[in-house]
Amino acid sequence: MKLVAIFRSTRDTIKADRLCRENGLSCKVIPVPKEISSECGVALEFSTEDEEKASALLTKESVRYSFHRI
Amino acid sequence: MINTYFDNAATSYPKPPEVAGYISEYLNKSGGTYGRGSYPRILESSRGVETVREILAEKLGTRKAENVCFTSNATSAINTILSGLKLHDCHILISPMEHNAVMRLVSEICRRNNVSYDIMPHNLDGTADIRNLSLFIKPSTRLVIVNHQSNVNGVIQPIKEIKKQIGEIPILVDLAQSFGHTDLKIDGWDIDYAAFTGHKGLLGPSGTGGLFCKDPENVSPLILGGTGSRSESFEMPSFTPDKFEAGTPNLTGIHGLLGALKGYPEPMHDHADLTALMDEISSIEQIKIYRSKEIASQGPLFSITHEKHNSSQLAAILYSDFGIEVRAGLHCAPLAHQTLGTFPSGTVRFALSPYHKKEDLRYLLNALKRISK
Repeated sequence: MKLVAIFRSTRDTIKADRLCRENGLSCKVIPVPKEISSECGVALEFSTEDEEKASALLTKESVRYSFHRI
Repeated sequence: MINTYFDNAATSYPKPPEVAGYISEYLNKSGGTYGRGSYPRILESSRGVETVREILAEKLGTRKAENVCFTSNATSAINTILSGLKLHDCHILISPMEHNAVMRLVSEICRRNNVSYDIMPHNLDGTADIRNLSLFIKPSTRLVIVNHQSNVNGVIQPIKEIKKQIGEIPILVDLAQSFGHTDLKIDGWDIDYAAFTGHKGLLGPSGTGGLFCKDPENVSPLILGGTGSRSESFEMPSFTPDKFEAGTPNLTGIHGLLGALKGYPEPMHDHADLTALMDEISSIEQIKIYRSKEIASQGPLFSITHEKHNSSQLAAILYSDFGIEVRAGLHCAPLAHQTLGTFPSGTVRFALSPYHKKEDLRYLLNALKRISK
């Protein structure tokens, strides 16, 4: 099981990636999985254990996201 | 070596070496597009673009970096905002120093959409007369437009005070000349819309610029197309920056702008040197200078007229005899020249850059003295 965060724009994805790296939260940039959307953009993959931390960080920094477990 | 280039209000020269370095790095090595994929080349390029956006937002004085959107220059930013506001059957108040980037569009909107405009009350140097500003506000006034720093005499308008006077009426500020030279506080001054360029005060490459919208929902996009987001829809995204960034952005230019922001030099002269130069030029009998009445409201450019030579002749002599490059004429700002009383003959403009040293300013002064003997 993986935790995937998708964002509405490239800017939000890049910003989220930067914020996670700056805050020591491990994540990986991946193509948006086809189970979620046919969008050609990118998503961030987290460990499911980090959901709470990632959620708190992104909410605090006003980054819109949605989590998907796939 | 003397820096004889005094046309930095047209475009900056020289650029920091990092501009060419970052462009070369982008073209020869990273080279990816913005968004629209997840391989490392794209991520590197996209990170470069977002780094520039973050730095620009900080320099503009806004925490809303997503509302800073790239355009090809200040003119296209102004076109996006003024067209996107869909103004009709209303009144616009403008500053007396507007550039044709604003005036030609305002004239078109007035002609087509039953809109009228007035020029705000002002002092002799073109600064807004704040005390009487409210007298020019009508119930139908929907927008106030202000050229932050004149491209003719360098006067800096009191944006914060203007916004206080006009209250809830939105303001569009043209930052084409001031960005890079003047401290900006977009959020603090409660600015609604702003337009800027990358190739003047920021020392970046031409083809870069942008807009700021406090409330992007009030502005329709001018250019529609692919954004790499919401691709299933035929409608433009409603969120920024995508709403105003259809099509592949100028990645080469934006990476060059990143080089300019990283390599911006320490100024090689200060405001006192500029003031001293203008004072010395003012004392030359045959020359009339056009500048701000207040030293603190003076940007790094000013204009002159000469008793014996018209502006084109003076510019030609400066180049042929001294190698000095300047711009003569109306500077695409006939309204500003009408305000200053220099229409239609125009002026000769001198626009400094952080690379000008004191000896460059002395060289310019001596050239003007010799021409005036």
